[in-house]
Amino acid sequence: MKLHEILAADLPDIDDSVKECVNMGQWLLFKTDIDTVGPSHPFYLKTGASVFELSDSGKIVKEVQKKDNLEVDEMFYFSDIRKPSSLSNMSI
Amino acid sequence: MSLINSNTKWVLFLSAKGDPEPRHIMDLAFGVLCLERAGVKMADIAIYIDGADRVSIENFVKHGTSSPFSLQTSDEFFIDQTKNTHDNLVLFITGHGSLDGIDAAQQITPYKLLNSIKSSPNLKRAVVYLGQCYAGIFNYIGAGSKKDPNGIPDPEVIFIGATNLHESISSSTQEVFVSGSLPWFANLFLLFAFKWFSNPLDVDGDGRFTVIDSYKYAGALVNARNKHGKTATLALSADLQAKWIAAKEAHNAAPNQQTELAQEAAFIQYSAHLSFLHVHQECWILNAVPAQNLER
Repeated sequence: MKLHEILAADLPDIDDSVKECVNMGQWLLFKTDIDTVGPSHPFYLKTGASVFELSDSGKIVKEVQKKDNLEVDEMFYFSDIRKPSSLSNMSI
Repeated sequence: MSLINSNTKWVLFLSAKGDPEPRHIMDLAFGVLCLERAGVKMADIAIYIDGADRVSIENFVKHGTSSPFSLQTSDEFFIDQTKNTHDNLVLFITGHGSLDGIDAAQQITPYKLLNSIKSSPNLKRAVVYLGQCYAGIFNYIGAGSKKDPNGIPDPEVIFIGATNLHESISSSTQEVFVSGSLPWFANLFLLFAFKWFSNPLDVDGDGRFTVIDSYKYAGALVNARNKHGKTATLALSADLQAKWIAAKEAHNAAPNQQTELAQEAAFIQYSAHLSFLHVHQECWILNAVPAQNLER
Protein backbone atom coordinates (compact mmCIF):
# COMPACT_ATOMS: atom_id res chain seq x y z
CA MET A 1 0.00 0.00 0.00
CA LYS A 2 1.33 3.41 -0.92
CA LEU A 3 1.59 6.21 1.64
CA HIS A 4 1.43 9.85 0.56
CA GLU A 5 1.86 13.20 2.26
CA ILE A 6 -0.16 16.15 1.02
CA LEU A 7 -0.62 19.72 2.22
CA ALA A 8 -3.68 20.89 4.15
CA ALA A 9 -4.24 23.44 1.36
CA ASP A 10 -4.63 20.60 -1.18
CA LEU A 11 -8.06 19.86 0.34
CA PRO A 12 -9.21 23.31 1.51
CA ASP A 13 -12.83 22.32 2.12
CA ILE A 14 -11.98 19.78 4.82
CA ASP A 15 -12.01 21.27 8.30
CA ASP A 16 -8.73 21.16 10.27
CA SER A 17 -10.33 18.93 12.92
CA VAL A 18 -11.02 16.33 10.23
CA LYS A 19 -7.41 16.59 9.04
CA GLU A 20 -6.23 16.09 12.63
CA CYS A 21 -8.36 12.94 12.94
CA VAL A 22 -6.67 11.64 9.78
CA ASN A 23 -3.18 12.46 11.01
CA MET A 24 -3.86 10.96 14.46
CA GLY A 25 -4.89 7.68 12.81
CA GLN A 26 -8.51 7.91 13.96
CA TRP A 27 -9.97 8.42 10.47
CA LEU A 28 -8.67 7.32 7.09
CA LEU A 29 -8.12 9.37 3.92
CA PHE A 30 -7.56 7.04 1.01
CA LYS A 31 -7.87 6.25 -2.68
CA THR A 32 -8.76 3.01 -4.35
CA ASP A 33 -7.35 1.47 -7.52
CA ILE A 34 -10.67 -0.08 -8.49
CA ASP A 35 -11.51 1.00 -12.02
CA THR A 36 -15.27 0.86 -11.52
CA VAL A 37 -15.24 4.13 -9.58
CA GLY A 38 -14.23 5.95 -12.76
CA PRO A 39 -11.07 7.52 -14.12
CA SER A 40 -10.89 10.38 -11.61
CA HIS A 41 -9.79 8.26 -8.59
CA PRO A 42 -11.31 10.55 -5.96
CA PHE A 43 -10.36 10.78 -2.32
CA TYR A 44 -12.43 8.86 0.22
CA LEU A 45 -12.75 9.64 3.91
CA LYS A 46 -13.53 6.80 6.30
CA THR A 47 -14.86 8.08 9.62
CA GLY A 48 -16.06 5.93 12.52
CA ALA A 49 -19.19 4.66 10.82
CA SER A 50 -19.27 6.13 7.31
CA VAL A 51 -17.26 6.49 4.11
CA PHE A 52 -17.55 9.69 2.08
CA GLU A 53 -16.43 10.42 -1.46
CA LEU A 54 -14.75 13.82 -1.64
CA SER A 55 -14.35 16.34 -4.43
CA ASP A 56 -10.91 17.61 -5.46
CA SER A 57 -11.21 20.36 -2.87
CA GLY A 58 -12.40 18.05 -0.09
CA LYS A 59 -16.14 18.75 -0.26
CA ILE A 60 -18.38 15.79 0.48
CA VAL A 61 -19.81 14.50 -2.80
CA LYS A 62 -21.78 11.60 -1.38
CA GLU A 63 -21.81 8.95 1.31
CA VAL A 64 -20.61 5.64 -0.08
CA GLN A 65 -22.82 2.63 0.51
CA LYS A 66 -21.29 -0.13 2.59
CA LYS A 67 -21.95 -2.72 -0.09
CA ASP A 68 -19.57 -0.88 -2.43
CA ASN A 69 -16.65 -2.19 -0.33
CA LEU A 70 -13.90 0.10 -1.56
CA GLU A 71 -10.41 -1.33 -1.41
CA VAL A 72 -7.93 0.85 0.46
CA ASP A 73 -4.92 1.04 -1.87
CA GLU A 74 -3.31 4.41 -1.09
CA MET A 75 -3.35 6.33 2.20
CA PHE A 76 -2.86 10.07 2.62
CA TYR A 77 -1.69 12.23 5.51
CA PHE A 78 -1.13 15.97 5.91
CA SER A 79 2.50 17.01 6.21
CA ASP A 80 1.69 20.41 7.74
CA ILE A 81 -0.85 19.27 10.37
CA ARG A 82 0.29 17.88 13.72
CA LYS A 83 0.95 14.14 13.98
CA PRO A 84 1.36 11.97 17.07
CA SER A 85 4.84 11.49 18.43
CA SER A 86 6.14 7.94 18.53
CA LEU A 87 5.69 6.05 21.78
CA SER A 88 8.93 4.23 20.92
CA ASN A 89 10.75 7.19 22.35
CA MET A 90 8.98 6.88 25.69
CA SER A 91 10.92 5.89 28.77
CA ILE A 92 10.14 5.64 32.47
CA MET B 1 12.32 -23.16 27.21
CA SER B 2 12.49 -20.62 24.39
CA LEU B 3 9.34 -19.90 22.40
CA ILE B 4 11.16 -18.53 19.35
CA ASN B 5 13.57 -21.45 19.19
CA SER B 6 11.00 -24.22 19.54
CA ASN B 7 7.88 -25.47 17.82
CA THR B 8 5.64 -22.44 18.41
CA LYS B 9 2.61 -21.15 16.53
CA TRP B 10 2.36 -17.34 16.75
CA VAL B 11 -1.20 -16.13 16.22
CA LEU B 12 -2.44 -12.62 15.47
CA PHE B 13 -6.19 -12.56 16.00
CA LEU B 14 -8.92 -10.02 15.23
CA SER B 15 -12.50 -11.22 15.21
CA ALA B 16 -15.40 -8.87 14.51
CA LYS B 17 -19.14 -9.10 14.06
CA GLY B 18 -18.99 -6.79 11.04
CA ASP B 19 -15.95 -5.23 9.46
CA PRO B 20 -12.95 -4.71 11.73
CA GLU B 21 -11.63 -1.22 12.37
CA PRO B 22 -8.45 -0.35 10.41
CA ARG B 23 -6.74 0.65 13.69
CA HIS B 24 -7.14 -2.88 15.00
CA ILE B 25 -5.68 -4.34 11.81
CA MET B 26 -2.78 -1.93 12.26
CA ASP B 27 -2.24 -3.32 15.79
CA LEU B 28 -1.61 -6.69 14.18
CA ALA B 29 0.47 -5.27 11.31
CA PHE B 30 2.73 -3.85 14.01
CA GLY B 31 2.72 -7.28 15.64
CA VAL B 32 3.94 -8.97 12.45
CA LEU B 33 6.65 -6.33 12.14
CA CYS B 34 7.90 -6.90 15.70
CA LEU B 35 7.70 -10.69 15.58
CA GLU B 36 9.71 -10.88 12.37
CA ARG B 37 12.24 -8.48 13.86
CA ALA B 38 12.45 -10.80 16.86
CA GLY B 39 13.41 -13.67 14.57
CA VAL B 40 10.05 -15.42 14.25
CA LYS B 41 9.63 -16.92 10.77
CA MET B 42 6.50 -15.97 8.82
CA ALA B 43 5.84 -19.68 8.35
CA ASP B 44 5.21 -19.85 12.11
CA ILE B 45 2.86 -16.83 12.16
CA ALA B 46 -0.85 -17.31 11.53
CA ILE B 47 -3.09 -14.28 10.96
CA TYR B 48 -6.83 -14.52 11.59
CA ILE B 49 -8.82 -11.37 10.77
CA ASP B 50 -12.55 -11.17 10.05
CA GLY B 51 -14.11 -8.81 7.53
CA ALA B 52 -15.52 -8.81 4.02
CA ASP B 53 -12.90 -6.62 2.35
CA ARG B 54 -10.05 -9.12 2.21
CA VAL B 55 -7.94 -7.01 -0.18
CA SER B 56 -7.90 -3.95 2.10
CA ILE B 57 -7.18 -6.10 5.16
CA GLU B 58 -4.25 -7.69 3.33
CA ASN B 59 -3.04 -4.23 2.26
CA PHE B 60 -3.07 -3.05 5.90
CA VAL B 61 -1.14 -6.11 7.10
CA LYS B 62 1.44 -5.53 4.34
CA HIS B 63 2.52 -2.39 6.17
CA GLY B 64 4.13 -4.76 8.66
CA THR B 65 5.81 -7.28 6.39
CA SER B 66 7.17 -7.88 2.93
CA SER B 67 6.95 -11.64 3.41
CA PRO B 68 4.12 -13.56 1.78
CA PHE B 69 1.41 -14.50 4.28
CA SER B 70 -2.01 -16.06 4.31
CA LEU B 71 -5.04 -14.43 5.85
CA GLN B 72 -7.74 -16.48 7.53
CA THR B 73 -10.92 -15.73 9.46
CA SER B 74 -11.45 -16.14 13.21
CA ASP B 75 -13.63 -19.25 12.92
CA GLU B 76 -10.76 -20.95 11.08
CA PHE B 77 -8.60 -20.50 14.17
CA PHE B 78 -10.88 -22.81 16.14
CA ILE B 79 -10.87 -25.37 13.31
CA ASP B 80 -7.08 -25.19 12.95
CA GLN B 81 -6.61 -25.80 16.68
CA THR B 82 -8.37 -29.17 16.38
CA LYS B 83 -5.53 -30.19 14.03
CA ASN B 84 -2.71 -28.57 16.03
CA THR B 85 0.83 -29.91 15.56
CA HIS B 86 2.69 -27.27 17.61
CA ASP B 87 4.07 -27.60 21.14
CA ASN B 88 3.41 -23.94 21.97
CA LEU B 89 0.87 -21.30 21.08
CA VAL B 90 1.31 -17.54 21.52
CA LEU B 91 -1.90 -15.68 20.78
CA PHE B 92 -2.30 -11.90 20.51
CA ILE B 93 -5.91 -10.67 20.50
CA THR B 94 -7.04 -7.19 19.52
CA GLY B 95 -10.46 -5.76 18.63
CA HIS B 96 -13.51 -5.05 20.73
CA GLY B 97 -14.57 -6.77 23.92
CA SER B 98 -17.51 -6.60 26.31
CA LEU B 99 -19.13 -8.54 29.10
CA ASP B 100 -20.25 -11.00 26.41
CA GLY B 101 -16.67 -11.80 25.39
CA ILE B 102 -14.56 -10.92 22.36
CA ASP B 103 -16.56 -9.32 19.54
CA ALA B 104 -17.26 -11.82 16.74
CA ALA B 105 -20.16 -13.18 14.69
CA GLN B 106 -20.68 -15.39 17.73
CA GLN B 107 -19.07 -13.74 20.75
CA ILE B 108 -16.01 -15.58 22.03
CA THR B 109 -16.48 -16.27 25.72
CA PRO B 110 -13.58 -17.09 28.04
CA TYR B 111 -14.46 -20.78 28.17
CA LYS B 112 -14.91 -21.04 24.40
CA LEU B 113 -11.32 -19.85 23.99
CA LEU B 114 -9.97 -21.82 26.94
CA ASN B 115 -11.66 -25.06 25.85
CA SER B 116 -10.33 -24.69 22.31
CA ILE B 117 -6.78 -24.28 23.63
CA LYS B 118 -7.09 -27.01 26.25
CA SER B 119 -8.40 -29.52 23.69
CA SER B 120 -5.77 -28.73 21.03
CA PRO B 121 -3.91 -31.97 20.32
CA ASN B 122 -0.13 -32.01 20.94
CA LEU B 123 -0.21 -28.56 22.60
CA LYS B 124 1.87 -28.25 25.79
CA ARG B 125 1.56 -24.59 26.63
CA ALA B 126 -0.08 -21.36 25.49
CA VAL B 127 0.32 -17.68 26.21
CA VAL B 128 -2.64 -15.42 25.41
CA TYR B 129 -2.26 -11.63 25.30
CA LEU B 130 -5.71 -10.01 25.51
CA GLY B 131 -5.86 -6.38 24.37
CA GLN B 132 -9.62 -5.89 24.12
CA CYS B 133 -11.89 -4.00 26.54
CA TYR B 134 -13.04 -5.90 29.63
CA ALA B 135 -10.26 -8.47 29.17
CA GLY B 136 -10.63 -9.19 32.90
CA ILE B 137 -13.58 -11.49 32.21
CA PHE B 138 -10.92 -13.99 31.05
CA ASN B 139 -9.34 -13.94 34.52
CA TYR B 140 -10.16 -16.46 37.27
CA ILE B 141 -10.74 -19.46 34.99
CA GLY B 142 -9.04 -22.85 35.04
CA ALA B 143 -5.93 -22.00 33.06
CA GLY B 144 -3.41 -24.20 34.91
CA SER B 145 -2.45 -27.65 33.62
CA LYS B 146 -4.49 -30.57 34.96
CA LYS B 147 -4.08 -34.31 34.47
CA ASP B 148 -6.82 -36.50 33.05
CA PRO B 149 -7.71 -39.85 34.72
CA ASN B 150 -4.86 -41.47 32.73
CA GLY B 151 -2.36 -39.00 34.16
CA ILE B 152 -1.93 -37.08 30.91
CA PRO B 153 -1.67 -33.30 31.45
CA ASP B 154 -3.56 -30.76 29.37
CA PRO B 155 -1.81 -27.58 28.16
CA GLU B 156 -0.58 -24.97 30.61
CA VAL B 157 -2.31 -21.71 29.66
CA ILE B 158 -1.13 -18.25 30.67
CA PHE B 159 -3.58 -15.40 30.18
CA ILE B 160 -2.29 -11.82 30.19
CA GLY B 161 -4.90 -9.06 30.13
CA ALA B 162 -4.33 -5.45 29.12
CA THR B 163 -7.04 -4.36 31.50
CA ASN B 164 -9.34 -5.79 34.12
CA LEU B 165 -13.11 -5.13 34.13
CA HIS B 166 -12.70 -1.81 32.31
CA GLU B 167 -12.34 -0.49 28.80
CA SER B 168 -8.81 -0.75 27.43
CA ILE B 169 -6.80 2.27 26.39
CA SER B 170 -5.73 3.17 22.88
CA SER B 171 -3.70 6.20 21.90
CA SER B 172 -2.29 7.75 18.75
CA THR B 173 1.29 6.92 17.96
CA GLN B 174 3.51 6.87 14.92
CA GLU B 175 5.82 3.97 14.19
CA VAL B 176 8.08 3.05 11.29
CA PHE B 177 6.65 0.19 9.24
CA VAL B 178 8.10 -1.45 6.13
CA SER B 179 6.00 0.96 4.04
CA GLY B 180 7.12 4.05 5.97
CA SER B 181 6.19 6.03 9.07
CA LEU B 182 2.51 5.58 9.87
CA PRO B 183 0.19 6.95 12.56
CA TRP B 184 -2.63 4.91 14.04
CA PHE B 185 -4.75 4.76 17.17
CA ALA B 186 -2.94 1.87 18.82
CA ASN B 187 -3.96 -0.54 21.55
CA LEU B 188 -1.31 0.48 24.06
CA PHE B 189 -0.80 -2.79 25.91
CA LEU B 190 -0.37 -4.80 22.72
CA LEU B 191 1.91 -2.12 21.29
CA PHE B 192 4.31 -2.45 24.20
CA ALA B 193 3.99 -6.25 24.37
CA PHE B 194 4.97 -6.45 20.68
CA LYS B 195 7.80 -4.01 21.23
CA TRP B 196 9.09 -6.21 24.06
CA PHE B 197 9.33 -9.19 21.71
CA SER B 198 11.39 -7.22 19.16
CA ASN B 199 13.50 -5.48 21.80
CA PRO B 200 13.19 -7.38 25.09
CA LEU B 201 14.11 -6.17 28.56
CA ASP B 202 14.99 -8.44 31.49
CA VAL B 203 12.78 -6.56 33.95
CA ASP B 204 13.20 -8.93 36.92
CA GLY B 205 16.95 -9.33 36.40
CA ASP B 206 17.03 -13.13 36.36
CA GLY B 207 19.25 -13.13 33.27
CA ARG B 208 16.48 -14.31 30.96
CA PHE B 209 13.81 -12.71 28.77
CA THR B 210 10.69 -14.42 30.03
CA VAL B 211 6.96 -13.97 29.47
CA ILE B 212 6.66 -12.44 32.94
CA ASP B 213 9.09 -9.73 31.80
CA SER B 214 6.83 -8.95 28.83
CA TYR B 215 3.88 -8.54 31.21
CA LYS B 216 5.77 -6.22 33.55
CA TYR B 217 7.25 -4.22 30.67
CA ALA B 218 3.98 -3.67 28.80
CA GLY B 219 2.07 -2.92 32.00
CA ALA B 220 4.56 -0.38 33.30
CA LEU B 221 4.86 1.42 29.95
CA VAL B 222 1.07 1.64 29.53
CA ASN B 223 0.67 3.01 33.05
CA ALA B 224 3.37 5.61 32.39
CA ARG B 225 1.71 6.62 29.12
CA ASN B 226 -1.66 6.72 30.89
CA LYS B 227 -0.38 9.09 33.56
CA HIS B 228 1.33 11.20 30.91
CA GLY B 229 -1.88 11.27 28.86
CA LYS B 230 -3.97 12.36 31.84
CA THR B 231 -1.61 15.23 32.57
CA ALA B 232 -1.54 16.40 28.96
CA THR B 233 -5.31 16.05 28.69
CA LEU B 234 -5.94 18.38 31.58
CA ALA B 235 -3.88 21.03 29.85
CA LEU B 236 -5.55 20.50 26.46
CA SER B 237 -9.13 19.71 27.38
CA ALA B 238 -10.35 23.32 27.67
CA ASP B 239 -9.03 24.14 24.18
CA LEU B 240 -10.50 20.97 22.68
CA GLN B 241 -13.85 21.60 24.33
CA ALA B 242 -13.87 25.16 22.95
CA LYS B 243 -13.13 23.83 19.45
CA TRP B 244 -15.94 21.31 19.73
CA ILE B 245 -18.44 23.93 20.95
CA ALA B 246 -17.43 26.27 18.11
CA ALA B 247 -17.87 23.45 15.56
CA LYS B 248 -21.26 22.62 17.07
CA GLU B 249 -22.38 26.24 16.87
CA ALA B 250 -21.17 26.51 13.26
CA HIS B 251 -23.17 23.41 12.38
CA ASN B 252 -26.29 24.66 14.14
CA ALA B 253 -26.04 28.01 12.32
CA ALA B 254 -25.70 26.48 8.84
CA PRO B 255 -26.23 22.73 9.00
CA ASN B 256 -24.80 20.65 6.16
CA GLN B 257 -22.71 17.49 5.77
CA GLN B 258 -19.46 19.44 5.85
CA THR B 259 -20.20 21.19 9.15
CA GLU B 260 -21.59 17.96 10.62
CA LEU B 261 -18.34 16.20 9.78
CA ALA B 262 -16.29 19.02 11.31
CA GLN B 263 -18.37 18.81 14.48
CA GLU B 264 -17.92 15.04 14.67
CA ALA B 265 -14.16 15.36 14.16
CA ALA B 266 -13.87 18.00 16.89
CA PHE B 267 -15.81 15.75 19.25
CA ILE B 268 -13.62 12.72 18.42
CA GLN B 269 -10.53 14.75 19.31
CA TYR B 270 -12.10 15.98 22.55
CA SER B 271 -13.51 12.62 23.64
CA ALA B 272 -10.27 10.74 22.87
CA HIS B 273 -8.49 12.99 25.34
CA LEU B 274 -11.25 12.66 27.92
CA SER B 275 -10.93 8.88 27.74
CA PHE B 276 -7.52 9.23 29.27
CA LEU B 277 -9.05 10.99 32.25
CA HIS B 278 -11.90 8.60 32.80
CA VAL B 279 -10.63 5.13 31.82
CA HIS B 280 -8.65 3.21 34.36
CA GLN B 281 -6.39 0.43 33.10
CA GLU B 282 -4.48 -2.10 35.17
CA CYS B 283 -3.06 -5.22 33.56
CA TRP B 284 -3.20 -8.71 35.09
CA ILE B 285 -1.71 -12.16 34.60
CA LEU B 286 -3.27 -15.55 35.29
CA ASN B 287 -0.96 -18.53 35.88
CA ALA B 288 2.08 -16.38 36.59
CA VAL B 289 4.40 -19.16 37.84
CA PRO B 290 5.05 -20.89 34.48
CA ALA B 291 5.37 -17.42 32.91
CA GLN B 292 8.56 -16.98 34.94
CA ASN B 293 10.29 -19.85 33.13
CA LEU B 294 8.94 -19.43 29.63
CA GLU B 295 11.53 -17.55 27.58
CA ARG B 296 10.88 -15.37 24.55
